[in-house]
Formats: sequence, C-alpha cells, structure tokens
Amino acid sequence: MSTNHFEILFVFGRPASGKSEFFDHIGKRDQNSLLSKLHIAPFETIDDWFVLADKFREDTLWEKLTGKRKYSKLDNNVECVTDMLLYDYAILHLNRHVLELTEKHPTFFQERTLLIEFSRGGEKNYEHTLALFDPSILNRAGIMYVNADFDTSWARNVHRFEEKQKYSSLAHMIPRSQLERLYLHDDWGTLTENNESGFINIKDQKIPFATMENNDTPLEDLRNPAVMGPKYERALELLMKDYTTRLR
Amino acid sequence: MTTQSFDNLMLIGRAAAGKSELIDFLKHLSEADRLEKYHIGAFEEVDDFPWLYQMWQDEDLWEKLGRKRTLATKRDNVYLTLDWEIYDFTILKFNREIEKKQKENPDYYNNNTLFVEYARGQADAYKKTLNLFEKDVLERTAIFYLDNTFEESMRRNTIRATDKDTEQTILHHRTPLEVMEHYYKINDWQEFTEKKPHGFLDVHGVKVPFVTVWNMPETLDFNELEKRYGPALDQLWRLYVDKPL
Repeated sequence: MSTNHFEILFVFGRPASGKSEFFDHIGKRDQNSLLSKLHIAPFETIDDWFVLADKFREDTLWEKLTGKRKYSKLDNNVECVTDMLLYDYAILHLNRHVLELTEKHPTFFQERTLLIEFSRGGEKNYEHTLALFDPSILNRAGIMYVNADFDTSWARNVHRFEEKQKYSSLAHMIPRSQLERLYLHDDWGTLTENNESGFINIKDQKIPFATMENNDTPLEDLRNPAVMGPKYERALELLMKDYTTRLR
Repeated sequence: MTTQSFDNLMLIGRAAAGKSELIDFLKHLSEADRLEKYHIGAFEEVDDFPWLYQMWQDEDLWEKLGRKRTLATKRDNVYLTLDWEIYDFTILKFNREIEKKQKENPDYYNNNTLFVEYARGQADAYKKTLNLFEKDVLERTAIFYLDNTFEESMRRNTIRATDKDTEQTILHHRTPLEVMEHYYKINDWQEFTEKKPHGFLDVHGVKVPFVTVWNMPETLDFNELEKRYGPALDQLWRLYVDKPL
C-alpha cells in the first residue's frame, strides 16, 4: 500500500451534497498539487449511477418487449428504483470491476488512485453496503464523506433542476419520495460516532474516514476553488494521517 | 442509403455456421480492396453474444444476493439459457445501438458498414426476429445468410470447444450441446425465403434483400472463400441498390 497517495478513495454523501463539485475540482487541479495537497495520484473514477442507468435502459426494452419493467418504474418520466436489491447489485458490479482491474493490472495502485462514488442510506445504509465489498478492496480504502443534511440536499437538488430547466425542457428531477426513501436518514453519524475522522470497522477491516462539513457552504461557493480547495485539503490531510497510521 | 457500400449488413445463420470466420476473412482485406470487391469499406460489428454473455454473467451477481437464476444456469463456466425471451431482448438492443450510432454521427453510413450478427433457431426463428427490428433499420439492411447443415454446425461447434472450453469469447464461444439440440437444430430460413437463394423478404412492408450462401465445406483458403462469398455479395449488392420501394 502506498504511503503518499490513496489507492482507493470512497466518496460518499447525499445527492447534491457536493460530491460532483469535488470531482469537478480534482479534475481541474494540476497533478502535482493533487498529489501533494490531496494525496490523489493520477486517478480513475467509478460510480454506481452508470450501473443503475444501464438497468433503467434495459427496463425500457423489457417494457417494450413484455409490457413490464424489471427494476424500476417511471414517475413523471424519471426512473425510480422498485427493486431495492438493485442498489446492492450495483455495488457488486463495482466490486467485480475493481477485482478484475487488480487482476489485470497488479501494479495499478502503485501509481494510481481509484475513486469510488456512491450514496446510500435508509434500508441500504453504508455499513450494509460497505460489507458487500471484498476485504482486499476495503483494505486499500479511505473514505471521505461530504456532509449535507437532507433539507440541504433537497434544496440543492431543486436548485439544480431549476437551473437545468432554463436550458432544457427535458430537465427532470428525482421525486422527493424517492430521495426520502434512501437519503432522509443515513447511518454515517452512527457509524463514525459523529467523529470528524477515525476508523470504522467493516468485515474486520479498519477503514479510515474523514467527514467534510459542507452543509453551510453557500451554493455559489460550491465550485469556488478558493473556498473549497482548503476544505478538501484539510479533510484529506486528516484522512491521510489515519490512512498511513493503519500501515504501521 | 449511400451507393458505395452496404449500410447494415445482417449476418445470420446457425451458431457455428461460419459468421465470425467471414468477418475475420473480411478483416484481412484492405479497406479499398474490400470496398471495390464487396461494397464493404470501413466496418464495425455489433454482435449479440457479448450482450447475452454479460447478462448471464451479471446474473452471477444477483445469485450472490440470493436471487434465483432466471436467464441462464451455469455449468463449468458455461451458461445454459433458461429464458429464451432474452434473445428477443437483444434484438431490441440492436435497434437501440444502431439508432445510437446514427444519432451520434449522422454521416455514419457515409463511411461505414455495420455488421449486425446473430443466430436464431426454432420454428419461428427469423420471421419473428426480423419483425422485432425497427422499420428504419430494415430500410438500410441487406441480409447475408450463411447456410450449412445442423451436423456441420455441431462439428464446428465441437472443434471450438477443444482448447478454450472454459472461456466464451467471440471466436470461441462454444454453444452447449443441449442448446444446439434444443434451439439451433431447426430454423425457418428456408420456409421464410421460400427456398430461394436470393430475393426480398417483406418485413413491416419493407423489402429487405437477402442472399443465402452454402458455407460448406469449411475452408480457411482465402481463394476458396473469395469464390464463395464474392458472387454472393455481388448478388446481394445488386438487390440492395435496385430494391423496389
């Protein structure tokens, strides 16, 4: 395991908590400062949304063929998951992807960081979901949780939708009931005992975490590198401290 | 439709009829040569086998989560189909993929031929399947059917098994014998085409040109393959450009 960069960095947080803005930030930052300040090597990202979206597309074809969708329903033209096991399936998909990657490129993590993004809560909480990963993956991982409560998450979602609506009549928004089901309550506070950083135990693996507070960040600052850069640096510095401690 | 090359060339026939080998043959020719001789310039392939295989593999994940397998059972790393509707599903997926290519590049067919490769069996095999294609797709399509006997398909399929039996890949995806017997033994191609070697099929009111090529005996000799495929592709081209509206 590397001592100067994260091999695997999980990025968690409610929808619109600020994860996309984080990815946008690191995508624009130069590699030297990315490594020295955020401990992120040249990186790749995987996201469970692509797995879910693929199943939604499959559902469109199943509906055409049989009249029935398998995993989702349409609510105001937005796909809503009806088969809750699909969320676990998506994680096993990511898990398989990482195991295959490691098998094909055994030295991948020596010089690279893999970022894994997803959001969970409700009946599919983080403790349950993380346990679906292989221990060899958990063993390489650190977690950054971007904290925004449900009301903030909802308000930012509404804002995003309104912005998109200005440019496209096709803009759509996940219904509140769907978001509430999974994201109204999550187990992050319980799992981390509300500590800002430390370790959580999953499958006998001590996984370091850091929570980055992002609840009160004004909308206009979410993509402002002068505001967000230092916040990310602080969170990931805290995380790296524990990440390297685990190696001793 | 462009007049230089086929837009969609549907390559069909039994499993192990020699479809992948035909593609392999065409890949050995230069683009200019291929265009001049066969009306196929740059080309891409869409084949439903990788989709089927992916869906069966994905079922391994559902099984881990406690779900019963419904699409295919798994034996010695080989999947045995349970749900035959999946074969209709992949035809709808062809429609979507073909539409996507045109959407992403409206000039797609100016430079490309798209091979649409699949195999179907049973009494309603091709009539049912072709009816699942969108009219827009059929209007740009010519069909190249590779014919052989079931026994020959079985023989070729068994040879595929020898060295890569535990792996299913494009050129080496041995179909389990049960599936060959149950699904591929008979099909409706001869009935559907009224045993004509070439002509038009009427699907959704579209006249779709087709040619049937007897693909036996198996040969890897390129001169022999040229003699076999050349006149057939030429015949198909003539039907394709002169098709009635």
